[in-house]
Amino acid sequence: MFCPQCGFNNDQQSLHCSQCGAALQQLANFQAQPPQFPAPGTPPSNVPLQYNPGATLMPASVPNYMVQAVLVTLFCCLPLGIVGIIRSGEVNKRLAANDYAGALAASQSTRTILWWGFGSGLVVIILWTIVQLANVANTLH
Amino acid sequence: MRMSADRGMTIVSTLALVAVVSAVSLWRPGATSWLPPCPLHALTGLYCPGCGSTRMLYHLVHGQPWMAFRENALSFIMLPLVLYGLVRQWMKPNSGVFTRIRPGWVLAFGVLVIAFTVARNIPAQPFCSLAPGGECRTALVQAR
Repeated sequence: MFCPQCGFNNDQQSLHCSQCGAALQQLANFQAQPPQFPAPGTPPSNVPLQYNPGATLMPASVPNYMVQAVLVTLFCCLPLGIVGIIRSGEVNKRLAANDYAGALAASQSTRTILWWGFGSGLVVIILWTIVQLANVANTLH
Repeated sequence: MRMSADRGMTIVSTLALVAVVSAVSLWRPGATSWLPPCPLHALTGLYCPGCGSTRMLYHLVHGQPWMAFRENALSFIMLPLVLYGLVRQWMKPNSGVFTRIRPGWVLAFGVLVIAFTVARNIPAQPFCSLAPGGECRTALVQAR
């Protein structure tokens, strides 16, 4: 599917453009009006919806990253994980209210928070490993 | 074609989990200097919600589920759900997992995590049973 904003050729199932982040056609259409299926015999008209109705129209298809939020909270020791859990609940809330733009925004902010949580945990691990390697080097000398 | 951000999250979280499971298969947490201690516990002596989760995985890998449960009850209970969610993310990319859970329940889970964290830091029974290894740090218990 081509992005209406920048023309980038995205994956058929993408919800937003991986180049510019714009919401893709099927999402915009879904928000504006419920999908209308043509009467039998009429050729598919303007909307790309009809080509793969099931795959792209799933209302629950905005990721909330709850799995990752739980992983960061319980295996990464940082309070950012709890913030991520609360934010991923925000995605569910927006989805339940049919607010897809809001759900996408919440999904993206959840993702950012979780990357920060994971990144800070990774920094600790890397620093720890460097210290341990230095210790090993010292004992060898 | 660029990889979607959703795919990136799935790949990195799976790799991280595989890395930790491999590490605890090689080394015993606490007995090796290669696995880092929890920075929060090292600095403040407090237990975070994740304290004991590496040892939990260690005991699980070595077939000791009860020991695993005692190290970190919450992550022990959540592990099957996390694994299910990861498998779902691999099978159906860009489709939400657990997106139908009511927001109130998600909030309740957040409160549960905070309550678990507070409880495992209270140095008295029955709360300290939730501390890593179920160890109570009260003077009374230490004296026995």
